[in-house]
Amino acid sequence: MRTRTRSALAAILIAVFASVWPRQPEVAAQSASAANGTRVSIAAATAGELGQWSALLDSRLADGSMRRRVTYGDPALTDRIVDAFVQYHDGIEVYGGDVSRVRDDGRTVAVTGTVYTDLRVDTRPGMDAAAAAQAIERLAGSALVGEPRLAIVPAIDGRFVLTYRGTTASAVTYFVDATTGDSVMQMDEWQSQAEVGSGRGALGDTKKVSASRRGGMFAAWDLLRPAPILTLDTRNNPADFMRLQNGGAPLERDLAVDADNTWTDAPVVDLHANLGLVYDYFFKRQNYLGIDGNNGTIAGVVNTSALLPNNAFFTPPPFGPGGIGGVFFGATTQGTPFTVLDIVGHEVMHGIVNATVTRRTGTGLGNTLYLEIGPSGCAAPFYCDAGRFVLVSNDPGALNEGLADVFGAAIEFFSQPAGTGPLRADYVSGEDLGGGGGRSIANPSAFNSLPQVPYPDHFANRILFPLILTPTGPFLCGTARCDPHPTAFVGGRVVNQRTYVPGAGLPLTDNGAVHLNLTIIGHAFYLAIEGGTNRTSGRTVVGVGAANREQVERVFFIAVRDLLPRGSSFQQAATAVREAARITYGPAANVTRAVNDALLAVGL
Amino acid sequence: MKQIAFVTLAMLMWAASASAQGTLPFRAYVSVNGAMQVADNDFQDSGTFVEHAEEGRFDTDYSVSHGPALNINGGVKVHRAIGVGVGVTRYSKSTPTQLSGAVPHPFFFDQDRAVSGEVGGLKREEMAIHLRGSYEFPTGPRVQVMAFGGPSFFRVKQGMVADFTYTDAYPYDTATFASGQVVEAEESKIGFNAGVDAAFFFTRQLGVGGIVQFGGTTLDIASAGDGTQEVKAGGLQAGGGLRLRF
Repeated sequence: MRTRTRSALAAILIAVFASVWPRQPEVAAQSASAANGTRVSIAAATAGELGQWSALLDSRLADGSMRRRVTYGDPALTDRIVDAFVQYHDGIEVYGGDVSRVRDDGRTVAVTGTVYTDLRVDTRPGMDAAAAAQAIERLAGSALVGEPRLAIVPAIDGRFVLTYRGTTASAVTYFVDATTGDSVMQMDEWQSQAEVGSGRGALGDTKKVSASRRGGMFAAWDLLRPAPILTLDTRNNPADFMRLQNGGAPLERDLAVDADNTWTDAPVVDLHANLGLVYDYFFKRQNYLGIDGNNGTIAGVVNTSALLPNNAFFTPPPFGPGGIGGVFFGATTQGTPFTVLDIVGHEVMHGIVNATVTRRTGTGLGNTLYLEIGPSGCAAPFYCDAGRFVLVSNDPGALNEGLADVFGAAIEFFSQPAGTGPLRADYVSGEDLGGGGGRSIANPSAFNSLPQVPYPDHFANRILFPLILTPTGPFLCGTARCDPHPTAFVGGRVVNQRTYVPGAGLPLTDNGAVHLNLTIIGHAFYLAIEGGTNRTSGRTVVGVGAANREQVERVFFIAVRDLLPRGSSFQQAATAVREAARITYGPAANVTRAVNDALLAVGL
Repeated sequence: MKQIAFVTLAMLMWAASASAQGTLPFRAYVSVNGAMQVADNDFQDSGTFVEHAEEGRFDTDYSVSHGPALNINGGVKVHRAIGVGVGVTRYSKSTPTQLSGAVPHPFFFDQDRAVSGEVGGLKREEMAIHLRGSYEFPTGPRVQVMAFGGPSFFRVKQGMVADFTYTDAYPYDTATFASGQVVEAEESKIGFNAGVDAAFFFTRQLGVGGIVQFGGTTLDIASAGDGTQEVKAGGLQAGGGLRLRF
């Protein structure tokens, strides 16, 4: 039965083959049609088929459409000869058109390979080799090794394209369209192999680096985790930074590399290792896969200290390296890289918020100004309502930042021992940058958000900015047009009188206090775990305890993943968190009670 | 071992003093014995390796238990009851080996994953060639009792676990032993042998008998780690079989 089935299949394939390449023998083959050529996989089995293929190869040798690449014998079998052929079309190599023939004592015993028939490709290039070389080098960001050569290749869409083929010093072979110079195909000549190295971070801690061997170097390319994690190094090159930020393709030279896998570039070491830890947290604790939830590539960009002082950010798709989004890290003015664990977790959480809310709503959490009528005394240039200031805050922006802080802390507690000081888990953000950190969700008022203005621990203490009236409408204070004072309100009173310096402008309003009001939701998270009394409301919360912190983390994550609406207000976010607790642990669960009490304590 | 050698020597001396009581009715003998090597020569080994930028370790417990051996001896009388001879003992047995290892974590220092398992296919082969001086105690014509002793040449082959493979998957917090990589270590050394052979002959030339002998040594074989590992070979053997005399 098997033989009969195979014979029938062979007959069909022979018919297909005969229709596309006249004069060919009746041999078994598998073929696939394309618009301007047909791919034929040789599958000769019987002696007759083998003989016919062999004769055909000899005839093709005679007319030049096949060329013998090499002939060699088998040292163990003196009668065995192996011929390797490569296909040409109008004198140009057809990439992938390769056939091997094995003969024993002159008798063909095997023929395998692929040929392309019925090719209809214009073999006149639209550019010369020099122009092609420039196109390849531009694509690669790396010098070409040798001269580009013409080759016909089957493109990914099945078309056969006349290309120039060239390999760069970065060990990537490019096939560019011989007319347009566009990339048709790329091949990495180096096989990547995961290889764990080690390195020293900015705080002097030695950690493992999940790298990959690429040629003679090691790249910060983690292949051991389900989501590839790439650490790119702009080396403070502004053009590279802008390209990667704006969705440009990452180039081989962008990869952070090390010669011996003992890494000495502290920002690279910290970012690469910490991106891995962050991935681990979301995988293990939240069953969430990477940033996009589907184990898409995670790209981190580092060594942008001169370009990104005192900052780090996430940029969503279609921006970031290759348009997949990315996290970028600068350094403090003292030179400490922003690649500490809680900040890396913070930025990745921005990506997760964006991905999860986008999946449900079509956009990210967004920026929405929530208005509140402030005290009287309003006059031009401020936007007034019956003589009262119109104040705004960007609640979804602050929630986005607050949730990023929440999970930055959660990741610290997952990966580091609790305590104070370097490499210890706590509720202070950025403490490993030195200087004691920047803000605390345990005790928000321990740090000032603006001069003499502590971070809010309660919704009533959120920071609001007045709108200013411009010719085009109300405008959020954020430029020199905001002068004169006042500039910030808390609880209906001015809290930030600023000295006007003509021409200097005012500090930005932080896009509506997004990095100022973030501690409100974060403090609720803290109280739900650790418990305590809110200083503003005086409400005492019995937390679930540090041993059960995972429950509160789970509640907040489900709220983000499944419930948080885009443009969410603080109240809507509180509802989402309460609902997440209820549907996850039940209405009577201790964690549900603790989360509710904590939200009430912060005024939500 | 020294104690056994001393006892053997004392037996031979005692036997020599009594040799005037009679002569043996044969000049040469051959004995073929199925024997049991009574001793367990278990041993341990360990090795280290570098994985994920950190040193890992494995320990192996080799079970070289008692088991059957083949023993063939032959000799001639050189003076009255005194003789010389040669014997060969072959012992071969599989040596199931328990491996326990600590595999470094790919992401973290000092978070080794414990693995354990049994490595199969390992074998101990011992070949001992015994040179002997012997003395036959005067007994009746059908019974023959002989004491013997002398140096032995031991050749030991031991399958050793040189490395092992494991499987793991993200998040790599555990690893599972997969297989052992086995190499054969081979070493030779001089030891000694001593023992007693007793036989009963149905005819003038053919009989059956039993043998109790100790033949052993200690060898240093190549370890999976650096250097060598001390192992014992041979030991107490007891068995019985055919006896021929001429």
